[in-house]
Amino acid sequence: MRKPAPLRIGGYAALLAVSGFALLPIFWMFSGSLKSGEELFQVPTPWLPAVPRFENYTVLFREMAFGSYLWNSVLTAGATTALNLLLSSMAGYSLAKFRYRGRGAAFWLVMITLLLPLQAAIVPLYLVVRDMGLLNTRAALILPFAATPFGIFLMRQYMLSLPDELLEAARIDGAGELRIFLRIVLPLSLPALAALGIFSFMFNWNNFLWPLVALDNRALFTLPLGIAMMQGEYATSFHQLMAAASFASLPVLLLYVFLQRHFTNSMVTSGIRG
Amino acid sequence: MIQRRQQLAGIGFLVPALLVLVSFLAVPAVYALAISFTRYDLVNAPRFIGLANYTSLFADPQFWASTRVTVLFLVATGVPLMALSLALALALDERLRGARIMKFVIFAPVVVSEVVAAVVWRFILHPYGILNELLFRIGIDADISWLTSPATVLWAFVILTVWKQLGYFMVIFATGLATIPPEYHEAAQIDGAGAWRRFRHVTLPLLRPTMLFAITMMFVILLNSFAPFYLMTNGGPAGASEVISLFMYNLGFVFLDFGRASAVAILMMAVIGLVSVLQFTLFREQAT
Repeated sequence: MRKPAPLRIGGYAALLAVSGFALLPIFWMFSGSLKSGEELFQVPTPWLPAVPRFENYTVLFREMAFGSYLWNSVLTAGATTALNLLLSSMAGYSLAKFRYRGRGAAFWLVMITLLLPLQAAIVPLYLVVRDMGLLNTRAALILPFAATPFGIFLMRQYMLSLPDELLEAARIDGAGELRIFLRIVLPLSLPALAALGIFSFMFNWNNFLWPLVALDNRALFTLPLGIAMMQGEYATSFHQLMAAASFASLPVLLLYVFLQRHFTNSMVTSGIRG
Repeated sequence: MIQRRQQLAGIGFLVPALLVLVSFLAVPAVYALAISFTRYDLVNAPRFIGLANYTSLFADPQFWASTRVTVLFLVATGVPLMALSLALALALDERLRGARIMKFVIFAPVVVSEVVAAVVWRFILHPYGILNELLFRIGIDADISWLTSPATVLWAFVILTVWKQLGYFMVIFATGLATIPPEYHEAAQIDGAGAWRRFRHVTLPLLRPTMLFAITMMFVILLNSFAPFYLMTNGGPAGASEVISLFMYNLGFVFLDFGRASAVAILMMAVIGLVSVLQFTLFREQAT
């Protein structure tokens, strides 16, 4: 299907222009992260630093607690993602392939909670987690996202398409239910698991509002909280801030470079099918 | 016997996830409704005050100012975001030279966190920053103080949000467009329909489900946006960028008025629920 030439050329120009618009802030962040304080607001602004200053990064570890923020981010995002993959796929499998009383109600609950906006739920979530005595613990960051309605729904939809005969055959061969789940169902669901894993890791790595209200203890702060606190401090200058932002973005950006298709697929197709 | 064992296994697989959903989503939602009828400051036990939180909210000019800012932000961001992402999806033909790399680049801001977006854009929008300098170089010597002037502050967030979300909606529309069979366009062309008429009478109607989904997602994502507002202006100057999520945060975590904060949460949930139901019914109408 060919489009008329002016439309094609105009569309191409628009794509190019928007690519520049998308890329420039990211480039500006990395370039700024290597500049000296004087180069930041020089006129005319240099696109690249004369000499790249890697000290901007080492200072984050020497004089600030970015080593600890990194560790906390890796730990909470990693643990939350692992739990979410396990619990959501178990629940998705149950809703897709088992028959029992209350299954309809459980699915209904998943669909209702799927619609609950997280930001609006933050106030009551805080009150509930506080009553549980979990404020200022790692558990407060991990447990609320250890299973998600989105994850359960995604896994259920995917697992509906697994052939029942396969599971029956395994049962006749005497395989236990847990073994069937681990050895047959999970390996066959790898594409859905990859999508959920990426989505969940990215969400938890970037999450800000919930850690902000759940934590006071700086020893538990994650990277987004560390950056936010740094920018609140009066003397912090932009080259340091850009180094921190670059450092926090690098892991997800690298993942994105290597797993691009999975990223776009995980965020989009799952949503449309729902 | 076997039936029973299988039933138990099914329930066993479900229970852990269900526990998480109930304790951290369902219970808080119900709890919020209960707390919204009380005065609660975390120190003293909640005291029942009926609908007072809601009536005082509706009488509070700050609540309405925040609602107005939110609606302005939603419209000013949503309209260009929708138009631009659809246009880009239409232009994004996989056979174009560099199409894959352009798609990759345009989606990249989606991956970056809102906190990072906030600090990077604060750097860009600085009075002596790159944006004002670029404007100066093309002959606009405006010297705009983007984040401290009430006239421009919301536009700064519009630009940031369009930048951050464009790739996501472009990919959504591209996926929707890919489901339209090319034969439809060919048939319309044979019947003599021009590019505009094909777009208007073939593409748009078939894209309606995608459109409804995109609008709902846009609504939820924009309404939930918090970090940039909190980190870049904290609602200022003089409340000109105090969106409802920030208003609610301040009520609860700054003024410790958890009754009213819960009332705002309930109102937000109600609005989002309403939009979702609306989307669902419109979608069903389309399908039948």
